[in-house]
Amino acid sequence: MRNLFLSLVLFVFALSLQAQTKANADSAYSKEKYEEAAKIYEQLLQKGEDISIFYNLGNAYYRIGDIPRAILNYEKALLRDPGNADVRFNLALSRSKTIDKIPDEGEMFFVSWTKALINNFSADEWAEIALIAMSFGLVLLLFYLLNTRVVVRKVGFFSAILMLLIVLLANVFAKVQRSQIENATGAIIMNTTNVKSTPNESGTTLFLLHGGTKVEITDASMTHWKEIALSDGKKGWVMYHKLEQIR
Amino acid sequence: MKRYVLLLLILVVTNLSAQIKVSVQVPDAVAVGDRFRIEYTVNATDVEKVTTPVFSGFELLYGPSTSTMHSYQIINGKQSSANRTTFTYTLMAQKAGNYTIPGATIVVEGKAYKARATKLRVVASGGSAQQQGQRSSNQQLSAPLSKGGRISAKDLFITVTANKTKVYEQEAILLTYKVYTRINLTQLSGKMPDLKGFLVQEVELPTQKNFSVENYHGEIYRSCVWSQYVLFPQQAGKLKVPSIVFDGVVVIQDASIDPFDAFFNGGSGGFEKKKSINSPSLAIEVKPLPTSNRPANFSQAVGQFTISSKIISAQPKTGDAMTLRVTLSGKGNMKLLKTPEVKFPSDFETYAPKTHDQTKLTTAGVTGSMTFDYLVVPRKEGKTTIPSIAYSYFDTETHTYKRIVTNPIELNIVKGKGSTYKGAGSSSIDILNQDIRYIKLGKENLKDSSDTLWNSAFYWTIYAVMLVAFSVVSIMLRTHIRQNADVIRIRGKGAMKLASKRMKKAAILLHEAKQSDFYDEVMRALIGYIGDRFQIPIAELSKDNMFATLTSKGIREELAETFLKALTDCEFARFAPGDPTDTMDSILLQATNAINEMEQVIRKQKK
Repeated sequence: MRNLFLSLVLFVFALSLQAQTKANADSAYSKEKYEEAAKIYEQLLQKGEDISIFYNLGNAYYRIGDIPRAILNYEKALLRDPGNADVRFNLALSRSKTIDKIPDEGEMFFVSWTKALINNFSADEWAEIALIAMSFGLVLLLFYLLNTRVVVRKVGFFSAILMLLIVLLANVFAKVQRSQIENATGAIIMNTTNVKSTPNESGTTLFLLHGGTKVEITDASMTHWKEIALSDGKKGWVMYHKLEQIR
Repeated sequence: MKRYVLLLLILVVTNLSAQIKVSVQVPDAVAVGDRFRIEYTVNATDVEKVTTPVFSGFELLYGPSTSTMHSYQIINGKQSSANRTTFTYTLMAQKAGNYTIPGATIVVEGKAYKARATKLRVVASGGSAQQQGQRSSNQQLSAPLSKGGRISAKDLFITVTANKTKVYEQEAILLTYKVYTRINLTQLSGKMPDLKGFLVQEVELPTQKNFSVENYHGEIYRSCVWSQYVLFPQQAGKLKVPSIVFDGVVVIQDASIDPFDAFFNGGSGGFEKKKSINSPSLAIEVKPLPTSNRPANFSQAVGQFTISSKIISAQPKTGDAMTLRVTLSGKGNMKLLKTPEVKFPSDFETYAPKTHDQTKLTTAGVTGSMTFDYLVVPRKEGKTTIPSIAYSYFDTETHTYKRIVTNPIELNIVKGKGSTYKGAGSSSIDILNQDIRYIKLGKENLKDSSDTLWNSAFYWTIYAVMLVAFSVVSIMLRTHIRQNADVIRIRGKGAMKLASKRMKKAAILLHEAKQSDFYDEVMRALIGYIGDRFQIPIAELSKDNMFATLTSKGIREELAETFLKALTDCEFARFAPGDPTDTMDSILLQATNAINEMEQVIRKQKK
C-alpha cells in the first residue's frame, strides 16, 4: 500500500516535471482550455521560436478575448513568414475588433508591389528559391555548352542568365527579409494609453491609443519612454510598459 | 351672396371670440375669523344677472361688488379685445373644517353659466389670534415682528418629509422641504448639498411661491412647499439626508420709528434681518434588492416599466438603413436604464443605438419614456425575424423581479438599390461574422532566432558545391565542348584574311626570288582559303575532289575552273623553264584574282 502511494507520488511528480509540448497545448486548445494552451505556448516560445506556435498562441489569446496579445503574436508570426495566408487572415480579423482604425499612408504602387513580392516568402523560402534557381541555371548553362543545336543553345543561354538573375534577386529579398526581422521596429499597444508630446508624464496628451493598435518605434534610446509613430504619420511618446515589441 | 358669406364669417369669428368662461378664485385655506374674498370672473361685460350662491358656514360680509374691464388692443395690425367682469364677495370663516363653495351662476346674453365649485379649508386659529374677525389673513400672518427683533424657532422653521423612509435600492423617494412662517419672510435660499449614496434630482416648482394658511400644531402659519427633491438611493444601508441651512431675510418692525415718519421718509418702518434656518436631518433605510430570483440579465431598473418595439422606417430594403425603436416607459430610475439588448439577425449591420430621454421629473419620481433607436442595415433580402427583446426590472409595488418582453418582429426585406451583401465596401464589415482559422497542429520545430537557412555557412556551402560540380562536369566534357565551340564560323570569317596574308608573304618571297618558297606559299593560300571557307579539313582536300566540293557548295563551274586553273598553273609553273620572275608575277596575279573572285561570289551568296 505504501509502495503504491509512493509510486503514485512519484508518478505525479514525474508528470509535473514532464516538459510541456506543443501537442499538449494543442489538445488544451481543442478542449477550449485557452488559458492553459496560451500558458504552454508561452513556455515553449521561451525556448525558441516557431511560426506555428506564434500563430496558435495568437489564436488562444483571441479566444480568451485578449485581442492586443493575439495581434502581437500574429504580427510576430507574420514578421517571420510574411506570406502566410492563415496568419494574415486571423490578423485582419483581430484588427477589425480593435478600436483605433488608422489609415495607412499611401505608398507608390511599385513600392507596395515590391514589398508584396518580397513578403510573399520568408527569408528561408527565398533562400530555397535561390538554391533551386542556381541549380537550374547551372544545368541550363551546361546545355548551352554541350548542345550542338543552335535553338537549344540559345534557349539554354538566356534561361541560364534568367536563373542567375533570380538567384541574385532571391538573395537580395532574403537579405531584406532578414533585416526586417533584425531591425523590426513594430510594436503593439497593450493597454489604452495617452500619447504624450514629451517623454514625461506631465507632457501634453496628444492623442489616445487603444489596445491592439500597431505603432512603429522611432526612438528606442530611452529606457522608460519610447517615441512611436502611427501609420498615418502621427508621432508621440509612450511609456515602455504600455507596448510590446514585435520581434 | 358674397356679402352673406362675409357676414357668416364675422358671426363665426365673433362667436369664437365670445366663448364665455367663468373662473373662480378662492384661497386654499383660511383661519377661523379671517376675512377673505371669493372672486368670480367672466369674460364678458354685458352680464345680465348673477345669482349669489349660499355660502353655508361663512358670513357674507360684503358683496357682490362688480368691476368691469374692457380692453382693446392692436398689435402688429391685429386687433383683439378682452372683456372681463369680476364679482367679488367678502366672507368670514366661522368654523374650522373643510367646505365646498358652490359656484355662482352668471347669465350672459340669456345664457346661464355656472362657475365650478371649489374646496376651502378653514383651520382653527391659534391661541394668539384673539381679535377674531378683525384681521385679514394677510395682515395677521405677514405682520412684521415687533418684539425687539428676536425671531424664535417657532416663528420660522422648515420641515422635511419623505414619502417613504424604507425603500429598496434605486427606488425613488420624494423629499419635501416645507417652510412655515409667522413673520414677514422676504427671501429664502437653501441648496441641497451633494448627498452620499443618492442620486438627487430637484423637482421644478414655480418660482413664485404661494403661501397658504395652515394650522401647524395648534398655531396658524403661512406655509409653502419650498423645494422638492427626488432621491434615488445608490447603495443599501442606513443613509442620512443631512440638515440643510437655509438663509432667509425677514423684515422686522422697529417700534421706535413712527410709521408715518417712516412712510414719508421712504422707509417701511422696518429693517431687514438675516436669519439662517436649519432643516432637520432625515434617516432613510435602504434595503438591497433581493438576491433571490434575481434574473441573470437584470437591468438595474427599479420601478414600473413597460416595453414596446417597432420598426419606424418604411419597407426595409437591403443596404438601406432601418431603425428599430424600443421604448421603455413607466416610472422609476429612468435615467439609469440600461440599453436593452437586441439580438439582430447575424447578417444585419448594426450601429450603436441612440437614446432619447423623454422623461420628466415629477413628485412621483421620474416618469415618461426612454426610446432607444437602433440603426441597422439589412444585408440580405428575404424573410427574417427580430427576436423579442427581454427586459427585467424590480417592481417597487410588488417587491418582485419582473420580466417584460416585446413581440418578435417579422420582417420581409426586399432588394434595395443600395449595395448588396458582397459589395458592402468596408472590409471590416465583411469579416464581422467570420471566425479565426484553426490552429496548426503537428510537432513543434523550435529554432533559435538566428538559426536560418539564408546566410548560413551551409547555405553558401551548397553554392560552392554546386559551382564545383559544375566545373568538374565542364572540365570532363572539355573536348566535347571545344568541338562545339564556335570555331567554324570564325574559320570561315578568317579565310580571306589568312589568304591575303599569305599572298603578301608570297609577294615578299617573289622579291627575294625564293622560287620554291613562293610557290609553296601561294599553294597554301589557295588551298587554305578553300579549306577555311568551306570547312573542309586540309587533309581531305585534293585537286580531284576540290571541283566537286566547290560545285556542291553552289559555286559556278566557270569560277571553280578558274580557281582550279590558278592552282594547276601554280603547280605547273614551279617546274616550268623560262624567266622565273615573270612566271611568278603572273601566277601571283592569277591566284589573287581567283581568291578575290571567289570571295565576292561567296559574299553575294551569303547576302
